[in-house]
Amino acid sequence: MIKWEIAWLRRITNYNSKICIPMPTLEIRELSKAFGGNRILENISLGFSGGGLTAIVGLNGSGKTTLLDLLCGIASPDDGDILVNGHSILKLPMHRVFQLGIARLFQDIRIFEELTVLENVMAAMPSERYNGLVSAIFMRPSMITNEKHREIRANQILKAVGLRIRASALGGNISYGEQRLLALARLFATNSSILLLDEPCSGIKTKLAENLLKTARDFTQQGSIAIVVEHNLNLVAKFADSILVIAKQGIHEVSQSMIQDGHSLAALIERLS
Amino acid sequence: MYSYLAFLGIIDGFQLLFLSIALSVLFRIEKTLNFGLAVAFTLGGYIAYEFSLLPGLPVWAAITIAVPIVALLGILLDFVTFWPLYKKNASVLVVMTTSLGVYFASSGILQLFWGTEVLVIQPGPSMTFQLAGFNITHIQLQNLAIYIMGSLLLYSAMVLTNFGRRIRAMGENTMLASALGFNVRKIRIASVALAYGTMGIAGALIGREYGVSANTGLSVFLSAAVVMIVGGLVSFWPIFIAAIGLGLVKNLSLGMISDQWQPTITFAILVSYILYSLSKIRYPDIVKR
Amino acid sequence: MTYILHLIIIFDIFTILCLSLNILTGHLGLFSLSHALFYGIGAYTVSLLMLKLGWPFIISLIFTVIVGGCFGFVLAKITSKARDADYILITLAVQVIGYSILINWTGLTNGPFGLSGIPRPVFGSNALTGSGLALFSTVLMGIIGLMLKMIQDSPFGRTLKAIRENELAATSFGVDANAFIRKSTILAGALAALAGSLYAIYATYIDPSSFSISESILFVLILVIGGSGNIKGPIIGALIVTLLPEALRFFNITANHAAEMRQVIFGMTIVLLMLLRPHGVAGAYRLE
Repeated sequence: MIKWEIAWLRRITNYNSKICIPMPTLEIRELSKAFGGNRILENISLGFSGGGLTAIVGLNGSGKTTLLDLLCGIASPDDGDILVNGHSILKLPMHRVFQLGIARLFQDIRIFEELTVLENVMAAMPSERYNGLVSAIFMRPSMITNEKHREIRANQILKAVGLRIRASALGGNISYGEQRLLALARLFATNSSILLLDEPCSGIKTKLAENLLKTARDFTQQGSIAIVVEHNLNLVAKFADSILVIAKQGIHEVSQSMIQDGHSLAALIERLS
Repeated sequence: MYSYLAFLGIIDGFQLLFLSIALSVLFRIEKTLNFGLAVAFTLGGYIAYEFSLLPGLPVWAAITIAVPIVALLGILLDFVTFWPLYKKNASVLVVMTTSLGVYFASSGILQLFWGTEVLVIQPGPSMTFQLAGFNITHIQLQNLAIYIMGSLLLYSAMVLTNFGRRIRAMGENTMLASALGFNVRKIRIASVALAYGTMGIAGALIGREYGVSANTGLSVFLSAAVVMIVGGLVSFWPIFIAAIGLGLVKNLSLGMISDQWQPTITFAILVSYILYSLSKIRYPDIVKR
Repeated sequence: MTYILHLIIIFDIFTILCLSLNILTGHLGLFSLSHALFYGIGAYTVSLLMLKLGWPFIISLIFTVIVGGCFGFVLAKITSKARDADYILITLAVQVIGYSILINWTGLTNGPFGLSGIPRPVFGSNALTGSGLALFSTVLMGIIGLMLKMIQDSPFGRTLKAIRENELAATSFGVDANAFIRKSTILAGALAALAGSLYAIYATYIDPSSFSISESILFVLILVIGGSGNIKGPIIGALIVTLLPEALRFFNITANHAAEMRQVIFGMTIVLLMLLRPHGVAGAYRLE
């Protein structure tokens, strides 16, 4: 049984207050995106504030992953704006978008295969003053001390997600389910206040998927924003605090009272599409 | 002078067109430059040279014998090195590194046998013709004719024949091609033979005109690669323009600067093209793997 | 004894070259085919400073390292958006263009005739020769090896590996990948130029043929054979290339054919390694 200790997780990762804003805000204004003449998103306006897991659902090709790509800076919109805590991210490179507090869990995991599980988590921790070339040679004692602290924190995160015993294994040598957990651990290690999860439950057992979403939701209780794109509608119905349906006519917020389970959500998506 | 240089540029251009189409046959399948083809060029010249030394053997017979030998050696090389990598689904970096190893080893072997001097196939006086106030040799005319016919034949084969369609299909998706019943192994053998044989012909033709040496293969291969990259693999006219354009630029510039600067011109064009095409792509799209 | 000192100096030079290339190819996964050019820039810069301007060796060396770093910066800027095949092609092009300049700018480099009479470094009133030069190059090689090991084991080194494994994921965690690549290229250029300086003062004669595309390919192949991604792989690669002519002498292969045989053996070794062991002899990074 995997034990999730979220408040403890928040305490141990909360060492860099620059990107861990207590009550972040995310605003999408009249966002549009087309690919090769095909309009994927048209005039989408949304607002997110801290606390609560928001699920984005829709048919294949409706623009869910595209929306996440726009939010983390991988793609740029044709029109509209995206504001994080009041700052527009449109002209920012990806690494600067991260520094504003947005972190993403990719659909295709993207583990660093030749790094160990521990190194994967340490690599995701935000940059500090000892990350540079000069520090590596001339500030050795301070760098080593700092590294030890990071290692302790990384081990604690791995323990929280149940991967502590695999810390020295290479990322490419662990099972798919473990890689999913590692991706989640990396996400927590970033200490970001806005988490974007792209199909986090894809290809893993239901029990693990439930724990994963429950963890993500619990994480938002402290005020963070978590946006999940997910195809497993039963899980969405069970764990999402709010549900957005992307359809041809735009984006629709669905109240929880309209949804009993995954079937009713699927029927709703069909109707709206 | 410039009209003569332009004529030389056109011959060079058609040679580059011929070679770049041949390169593209193998490039479609391997998705990377195969430096082994640089050696095929030199080998074609050397083998044709050796056969041309046989008493009574006409030079065209020597060239005709050399081409299938180079093609066969290419098939053997592919069987021993690149085919096992292909089956293991090796990355393009591994294939390219292997091809560098093949080039290195093969050019070392060629130098052990033939040294580094320039060997001309059947040197001697050649017939000359007057054209627009300058003399051109019959060798230059013959080579030009072969390059033009060869380019048209190769391109037609790639576009109009089933064989060419299968090569292009295999290049897009090998697994799907296998599932559709393509004999991937046979198609690969044919592509290798075609690519190596074509480089061998070109090496032999250059061997008649200017001579062949251990160092010429790499520079010719790289120039053809530049044409293939700049011209692209999609349609004929861009690659034609790239080839003739590069040939003309290289030769016309001889009127102004030393021929030692030729590689600079070729590679400056390549770098400019790559930087221009990269400038149109947003950074994250470059590293999405 | 003199021959052993020669082997030590050559080994030190190759080790520094391979370690510097390892920063790009091993740690970052960027296949650079322009390393011989940086090597040549170092050799020519130190030679010109000492020959034409009469600068003392240490000042020339420091300046050469800075010049190598500057060229590294220029290469990093040119290749900032290039990865994989584009990176290889651009570095190949830069190498060919740079070589053309070395061979054609006769006013500066003396073209194919090269520069001769490069003075050996003078410490006190004695010129550094033989054992002194070997000691100097070995100490330098040791310092560079230690420095690179420290970098490898630091957060900087870990970030380089993360960029190599998955640049998009690394960037999504706030890593400015281009900045890391730029710093690494500057360091690699500076160290390769340092190796070139050592070669110039040892050989006392340099010409462009030592810095051609074939040499760039050779350096990459040495790294692939020895292994990359750690410190011992490049050292083993350098050891192999240094001792190979010795091994060839056992088979009565004369010095005339040694260069060709080296090519054949290296090439075949690469093919075998790619088929059987892409890690190389002692590498940490599997080429794929």
